[in-house]
Amino acid sequence: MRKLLLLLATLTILFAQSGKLLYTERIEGIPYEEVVILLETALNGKNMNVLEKLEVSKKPKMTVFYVCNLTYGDKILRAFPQFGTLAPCRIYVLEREDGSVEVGYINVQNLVKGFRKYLTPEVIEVFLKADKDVKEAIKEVKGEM
Amino acid sequence: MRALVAFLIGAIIALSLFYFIRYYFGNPFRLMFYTVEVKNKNFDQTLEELQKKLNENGLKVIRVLPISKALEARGVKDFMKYSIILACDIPNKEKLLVKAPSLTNLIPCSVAVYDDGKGVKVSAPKEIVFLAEEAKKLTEEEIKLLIDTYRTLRKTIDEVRR
Repeated sequence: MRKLLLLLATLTILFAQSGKLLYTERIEGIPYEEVVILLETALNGKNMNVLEKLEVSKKPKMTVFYVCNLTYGDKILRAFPQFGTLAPCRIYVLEREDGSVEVGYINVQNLVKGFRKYLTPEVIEVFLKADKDVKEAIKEVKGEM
Repeated sequence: MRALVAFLIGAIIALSLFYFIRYYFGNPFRLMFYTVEVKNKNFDQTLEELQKKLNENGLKVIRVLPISKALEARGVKDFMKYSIILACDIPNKEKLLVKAPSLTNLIPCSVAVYDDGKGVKVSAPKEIVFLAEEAKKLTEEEIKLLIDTYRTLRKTIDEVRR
């Protein structure tokens, strides 16, 4: 099964021309709990509204945010309703063994790359704007903005 | 003569295989989403029956997000009927998600139900792309659990579409 999946991965990369599915960032020097609170505030501030916050695991600590921006949703789903299966956008916060905190979500840049041939310029713009909002929220948590 | 026939058959098989792979893997929509058109049911009936069947088949429904109603409440008037069912709340998900965080996109699963004006459709994500990337991190049992969950999901959708 594993070998078959690796073959499928190769085929996917060859044909869909996409890369990694996940975008991740490491945050150092800020405790996990603080990252969770700061990220929720930063996401809401960017209108990436947190619909639900699910504490998935206690050891290691992991929280998943279910995030949605209806304005973006309107534009994307109107043209490509299938993308609702990736909504609400899931952003996770995971405490690593070395004490750093990992934040990750679907790699929007690679998603757009894989679908570029089919998407309209307006939808691509919305995807990239949403990606920028989330990245800026993470930067806020890091104190880089 | 025999060699020529064998060569031709081989060439036909190779070409068919090539076109099948290109058909399946060449279109990201086919690769990432399972979409079906529902027959003889309207949007509300589909939404209700799908929730019922998902629960019956062990793919516990967690929440339903009425996207079109939320947009309507914000003054958007011409949006299609659209809801997302969050389901597939599988046991021991925490171990899987910690090991392979990209699976947060599969668990819980988001099943989209919508009426695009041409008919009612149901879309679900496909597990294969995520599994292909995360296979190295998972055990055979975990891979099987995910494949079985998504197979049951597609079977459930097929039960509702008829």
